[in-house]
Amino acid sequence: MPATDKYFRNLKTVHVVFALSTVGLFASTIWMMAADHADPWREIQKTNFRIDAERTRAELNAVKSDETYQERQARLAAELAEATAKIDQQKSDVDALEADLRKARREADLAEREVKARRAQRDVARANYDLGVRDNLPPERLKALKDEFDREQELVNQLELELQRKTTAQAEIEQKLAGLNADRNKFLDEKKKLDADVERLTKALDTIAPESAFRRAKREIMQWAIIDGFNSPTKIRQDWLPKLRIKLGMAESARFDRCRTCHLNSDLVEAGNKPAYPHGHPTTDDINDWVKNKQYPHPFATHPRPELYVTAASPHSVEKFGCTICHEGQGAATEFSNSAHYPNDPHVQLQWEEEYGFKKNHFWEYPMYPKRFRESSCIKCHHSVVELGVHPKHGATAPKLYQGYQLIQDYGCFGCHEIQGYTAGKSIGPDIRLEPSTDEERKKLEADPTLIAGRMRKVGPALRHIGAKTTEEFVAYWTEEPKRFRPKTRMPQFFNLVNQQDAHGQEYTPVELAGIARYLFDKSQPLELLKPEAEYQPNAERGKQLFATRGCLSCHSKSDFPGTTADFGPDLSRVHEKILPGEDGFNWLYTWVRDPQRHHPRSRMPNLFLETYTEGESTIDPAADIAAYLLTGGPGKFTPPELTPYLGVGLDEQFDADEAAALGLDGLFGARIVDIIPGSPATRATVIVESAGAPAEVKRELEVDDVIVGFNGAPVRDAAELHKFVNRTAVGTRVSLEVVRHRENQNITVVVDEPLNDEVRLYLGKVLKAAQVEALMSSGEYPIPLKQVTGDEIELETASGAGEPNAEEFRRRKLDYVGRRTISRYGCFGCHDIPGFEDARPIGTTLQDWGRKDTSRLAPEHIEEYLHHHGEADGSSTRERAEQAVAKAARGDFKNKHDEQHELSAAYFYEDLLHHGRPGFIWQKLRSPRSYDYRKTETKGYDERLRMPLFPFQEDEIEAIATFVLGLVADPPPADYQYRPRGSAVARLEGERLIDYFNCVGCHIVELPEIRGGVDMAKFAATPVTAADHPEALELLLRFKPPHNGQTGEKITAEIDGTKKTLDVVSFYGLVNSKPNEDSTEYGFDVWEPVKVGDILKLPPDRVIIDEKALLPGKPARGGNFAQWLVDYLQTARVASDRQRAWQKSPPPLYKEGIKVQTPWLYRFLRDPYRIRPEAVLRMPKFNLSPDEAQSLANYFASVDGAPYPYQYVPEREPSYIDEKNEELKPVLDDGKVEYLSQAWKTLNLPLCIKCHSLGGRTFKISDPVNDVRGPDLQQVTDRLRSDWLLLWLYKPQWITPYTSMPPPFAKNQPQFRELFGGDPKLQTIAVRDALMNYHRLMEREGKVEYESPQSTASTGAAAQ
Amino acid sequence: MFDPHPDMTLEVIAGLGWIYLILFAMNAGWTYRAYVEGRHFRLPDSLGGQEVPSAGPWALYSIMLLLVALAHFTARDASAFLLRMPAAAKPAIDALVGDPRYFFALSIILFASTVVFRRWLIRPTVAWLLLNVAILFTALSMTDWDFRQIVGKPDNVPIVSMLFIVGFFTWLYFRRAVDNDERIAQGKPLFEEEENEKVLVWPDLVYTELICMVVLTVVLVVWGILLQAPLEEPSNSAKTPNPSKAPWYFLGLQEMLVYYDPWLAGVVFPSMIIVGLMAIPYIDFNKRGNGYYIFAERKFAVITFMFGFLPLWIAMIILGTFLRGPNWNIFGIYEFWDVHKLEALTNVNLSEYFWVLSPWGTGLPVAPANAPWWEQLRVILLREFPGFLAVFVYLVVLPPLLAATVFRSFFQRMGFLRYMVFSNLVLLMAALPIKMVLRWSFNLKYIIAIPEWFFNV
Repeated sequence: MPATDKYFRNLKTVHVVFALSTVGLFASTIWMMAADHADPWREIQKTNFRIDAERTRAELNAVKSDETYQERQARLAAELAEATAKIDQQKSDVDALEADLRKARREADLAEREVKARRAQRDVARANYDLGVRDNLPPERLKALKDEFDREQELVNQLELELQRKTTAQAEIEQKLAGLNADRNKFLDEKKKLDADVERLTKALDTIAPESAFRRAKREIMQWAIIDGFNSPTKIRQDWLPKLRIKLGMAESARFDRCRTCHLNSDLVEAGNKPAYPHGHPTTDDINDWVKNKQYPHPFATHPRPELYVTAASPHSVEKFGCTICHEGQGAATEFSNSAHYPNDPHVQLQWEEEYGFKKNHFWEYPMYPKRFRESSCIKCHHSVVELGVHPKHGATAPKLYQGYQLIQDYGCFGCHEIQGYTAGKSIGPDIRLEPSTDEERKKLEADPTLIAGRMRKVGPALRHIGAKTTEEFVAYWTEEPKRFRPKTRMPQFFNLVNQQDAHGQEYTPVELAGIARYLFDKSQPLELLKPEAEYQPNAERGKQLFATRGCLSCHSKSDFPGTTADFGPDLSRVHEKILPGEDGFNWLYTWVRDPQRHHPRSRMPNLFLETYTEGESTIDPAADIAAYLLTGGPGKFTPPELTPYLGVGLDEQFDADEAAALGLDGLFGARIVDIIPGSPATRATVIVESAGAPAEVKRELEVDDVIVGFNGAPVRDAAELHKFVNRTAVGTRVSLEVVRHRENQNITVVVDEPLNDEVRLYLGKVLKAAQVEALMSSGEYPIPLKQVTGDEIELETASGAGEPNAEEFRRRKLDYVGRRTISRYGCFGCHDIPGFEDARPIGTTLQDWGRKDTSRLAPEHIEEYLHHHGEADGSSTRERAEQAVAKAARGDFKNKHDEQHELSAAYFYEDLLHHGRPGFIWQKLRSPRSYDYRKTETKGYDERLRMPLFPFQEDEIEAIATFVLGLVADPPPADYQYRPRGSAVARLEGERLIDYFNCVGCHIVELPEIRGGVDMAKFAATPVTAADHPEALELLLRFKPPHNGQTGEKITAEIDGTKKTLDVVSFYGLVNSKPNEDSTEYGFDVWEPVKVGDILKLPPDRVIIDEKALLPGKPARGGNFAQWLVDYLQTARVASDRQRAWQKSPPPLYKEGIKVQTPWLYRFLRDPYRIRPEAVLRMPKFNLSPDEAQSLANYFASVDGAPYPYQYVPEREPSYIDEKNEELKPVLDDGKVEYLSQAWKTLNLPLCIKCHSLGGRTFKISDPVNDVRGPDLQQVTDRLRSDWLLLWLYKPQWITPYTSMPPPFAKNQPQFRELFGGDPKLQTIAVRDALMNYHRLMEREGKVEYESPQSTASTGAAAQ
Repeated sequence: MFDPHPDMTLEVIAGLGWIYLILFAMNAGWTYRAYVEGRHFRLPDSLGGQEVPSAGPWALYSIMLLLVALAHFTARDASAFLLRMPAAAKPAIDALVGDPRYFFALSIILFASTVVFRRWLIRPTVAWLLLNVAILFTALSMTDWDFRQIVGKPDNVPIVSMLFIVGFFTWLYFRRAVDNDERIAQGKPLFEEEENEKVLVWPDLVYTELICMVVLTVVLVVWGILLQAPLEEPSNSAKTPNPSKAPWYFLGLQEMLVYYDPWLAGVVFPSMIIVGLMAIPYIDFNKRGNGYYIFAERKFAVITFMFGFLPLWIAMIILGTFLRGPNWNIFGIYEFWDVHKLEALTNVNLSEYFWVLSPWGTGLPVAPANAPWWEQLRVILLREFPGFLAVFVYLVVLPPLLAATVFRSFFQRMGFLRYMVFSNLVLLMAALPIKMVLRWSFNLKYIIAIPEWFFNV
């Protein structure tokens, strides 16, 4: 059909379709824009405007409704009215003046305009002249230009004068007017000031929530799509962090954090650096309630701890750090799910799904850390970790992470899993590695500046001399399950775990245990032991007391002392059972106690100086007594692992009639095979068949479901009977088994063997050919020469020319070999020093970047199936546990928060494991490491089974470890973002690490406890400063120990003695002096640090009494558990008569040690401690410290207290000081005839100090052994103490140490010895200090000086000179 | 909560409810159509044998769909919901499609039956029924988590729609072609002649195109709003996605890579496809079939083209999209894409068959390590001579043989040059299925394998 002018389609219809389609296009475009504009953050910002408006309104109302404000407002209004009225009375004057002023202003204005215009002309003239100079114009033209300028300048000057005249006239009029209006202006100013707050708030309110409908509409329109591109109130807020780059796949780019688009208030603080929008969980959705209760939900809340995070003044300001460097997540995203928020547990996830339509953002490689791991990222920058656990200013900022760090150190995870904190000498994260184990390695590391040696010691005891210590049987028994012997041991369990429950594991376990023990004892090196004197009779009873008082209990616990809980060293309750019986064992223990380094050079057990001493007539050897005490109870009996012959089959121990019938047996008879051990005799079984007329032996393996009914012709009734038969058969015997297979009887021949041989075959099969293995097994001769053997096979190697070993020798070697292989396989050398493994490398995967480990490289294997049906300690399903936890949380059924957290944690980890996440993986790995072998052991080789042992961790400890390990990302931000401590902070951190590492805190209190409780302010009086006290001393005291503000402002109501009292809560630092008993319900505390409550100043050693009902939990003491225990013990054991004396005999608190002792002395002392206090029942032991470590510790104390280190300046020794003194004290030094220091030396030698101290070549003599307190020898003082501290001590010892027995030697109000320094107690005190600081010099110069009474001074004084 | 791969969730059930509701609406329309047309059919005698209106069963079916949709909308417990793909059917279907041999065979069978049963297929009721079956199958399969993961991926939405579009246009072609075939058989004028629809460019063409443009824009905009761009993690050459897939339209090419070396599958074959398509007008000697739909007059051309397009292109895209999973293993449509699934890869080269595995095998000829290059060349050529021979026979000997036999008439009408181009193009096209079959049946890796020169065939 040709084209006509008729159209193909009805044009009207087409128009309609076209119209509809365009409408559709329009609608979809609008929809697109709306969808694009519908960002959730806009709503959040709008809500935040409402919150702000509400807050401002509340504040405004508060200001307005304030009574004083209203009162002043009213008063001002009245005063203003009055002032106005006054002005009105002089209206005509005012009007006239105002008219003049208007005129004057106009004239001045005109003049100013004229000046400005003329100045412009003048500037042009000047510029023209300058251009002329530039163009080198002839002089006459230049002159013309200059003249032009001069003319203009002259005009300007005239006009300026005119202007000045006019403005002066104006000012005069203004002044007159102001005089008339003075009163009113004053009140107006005042009103302006009064209304400043109101005005500010009103203005703020007017911006975010304007009153006027027009402005409201304008604000609304500004937020519309497209228009919002032009300075809308709602906008994306982003932090640009060009230095904190982020890796996105292959590329790196600057970080953009848009988190603050929603978390708008995160950095807002109020006065006092408190969050302006404190986070809380408001119960309603009503913004008014939030404002009223000061509780704001996310994302409106301020970041917690603004002094530390986000705010500009904090060390982690958001402008510098952004958000995602710590929290992770997709910083560029502005939507809840996209920004990779991560729920803390499945319960929260369900809530989020409901509330925000939450979906996990799988594609972002850095999902936000859930709340439970928020501390993880700290170690990206804080490589030394310690500051996160202990910090002088901020306390423990990442306690969970720090706990994980400590657990890793305590349990020695690094023995297998290195945490390498350096790449090419650059720090990339925490470094936790073993120290070099050989000198060669150490030298190699020292030679290469890019390599940094690890510094952790192996956590387990050295096994190099184990033969001298214990028995082989015990070692096997212990290794199998350490907790069985010592429930609180930190040694993990390697055997009898879930992947060793099959026949293979069961048969090989005893072999491996026996092998390990055999190897250790074969290789054990002899140790030269110390012995007590031959005739010495150890006294166990005395040993017990010495054990208690000599400090053993600061690290160890023992059931004889129920109050002790120290677990730094092992619990010694059963130690007698494991030590070698007889004299050898005793001597070993004696040696160990006296000199631990003899047995274990890297032991952290210190030398306690248990030297013999005499008491009255008898000589006492404390080490021998303690050894005798520890060995009370005698050796234990441990059966060695039983190595029995076997067939290599697992038998059905519960073979029942039904199964028997199913296998075609007539009745329940025989032993049914359920498991065949690969490489065992069962797999080498044969049958005799007729072949070509002759009987031939062919291989026929035993199979699962075979039933063994006969053994060498004897009937086998059940599994037990078969075991019995096999056990009686010698290895190598051919036995004939009658087997029912597929309802047919067969005679199968098996050569009985032992698992030892098969395990040897298994390992050898990896290095030798099958034929070589068999040859070796029959001849015992290793086919490869010794020199070429590098692996564990060295144990099988015969010394060249030794010939074939005999059977016994060969068996021993095989055991050694299996033992060595097992030690290699399990990496025992990671914790223990084992001969033959000096160069062995840690066997586990390194952890320094585990937090980013590609999850596809984790092997969850069948863990889901395992946890679905098993997983819990009682065998129940972990999945069910998780499901119940979530259901219970949804119903709100949990009894307490702790249970809820605990169970939801498990649910979290389980859920994570389902997605093959790292947290879930590590959680289960630590809960049951071998469960990842579930159903894998069937298809993998025996030696490929998982090896990680089971550590005795609680689930919360596992979470702490996970927090640490997940933070190991080896992805440090640029160096200036890292925490790189300098100066004293280095010393502090290293010291903190060491005082934990060597358990200094076992004995010493290093931080006093904070005591909090209610006191009756009426009875809370200031400590009187008496006439005896020197005011200089008080000054010193307050400088050394600035008063602590004890006023908490809290109140506590408690019923005391039957009456209800409201008491003020105070807090202070001190120690318990008395505890509640039958007579009293009160605690008595000694104040150790000056405390100020209001105006009341309490000084040490004043006492604060707090009723037990009014006592609140405060911060506990750091360290010193043993000291506190010992104080009680010494009192009960009547070694000390009172608490004060008991403290004097115990380890002293190291409180303000830094300002007390000189650092070089402390260094020497730590390296080689001597006895300072004769009173103490124990001595500072000698720790196994390296010079570096001792130095760090010495610096630590000085650095903590802000004292100078490592060098101290002692001015008292300088000639200038002494000259000054001589000059200054001329009048009292006999007009300069007596030298100052000589006089000081005399003062020191007065019959005062000698009462308690040895000094000046004279020894203190005890006159009353019960009451006399012997003080330290004073010749030590000069190097030991810092002079300022010593001065305070001499002024008033109790102010420093409340328990001291030393009286103040020179009370201010009791002048004595007038011949010395005129009897001025202050001068005498200083003189004694100076004499002590110059002790050695004076001792040499002045020698022994005996005090003589003033009557004979004249005759002897000259002689002394 | 603790099932990471739930087959059924309330969201899925609600979504399926919508599918069933739409299907109900479609069938309600169909019922109305049947009612308006007023057609009847006779019940089988066992059911009474009377005439009933066709609209009746359609109405019943539609009501059933409505009820099913309602059941979906009112479901409260996802785990107890019964309308799902029966568990027993899944392994059976997986076994069928999860094996490339069966899959390929199935695609050939489907293709062949489309051609053979074209007369039956083009009936509207049959097509409608097939469409219903396809939608129902998809909906039912959606109750499987794994199926949903593949089909529901925003990436794959165009492929799912492509399946229906290809089906529709194939159907449309056959409907027109069969109609014209019948017209020619009956001596009637062709549809195109009878219904000559020459129209004006404006407004009939341009106006319609404008409307189409607008509507398409609307569709794209709405699509863009509803299905967010399927962004994944930032690219990282150290950690590539597994499986790494080409864009959907290249998955046919990617599938070729399984069987051929990259230089062939990635360079030669794609070029040959383009060149071959361009060459068609010059090769084609059949003057009939120009400007109208026809099948009978151009059987060879149509079948060859369709074979290349449907089983060798579309089916390969389907295979690549829906069945190729991690490690490029084949997975059934209901099978979990587990990276741990392994396939034994023990492929053998033709030269190894000849030199090693044959009874006369002497081991592969190897040149001494320091032999001169001509010696190396000689040994390599000797080693690979069976392959060269096979390729020679296939590409050089076969065309004359075919010319003498099967393509006798073609050769006569085309002339030598045209025939050689034609036969080589056809042979190259056939090379793909041949290699696939050889791989599946003999684990044949390469016919010529010279890794030394990166030359493998």
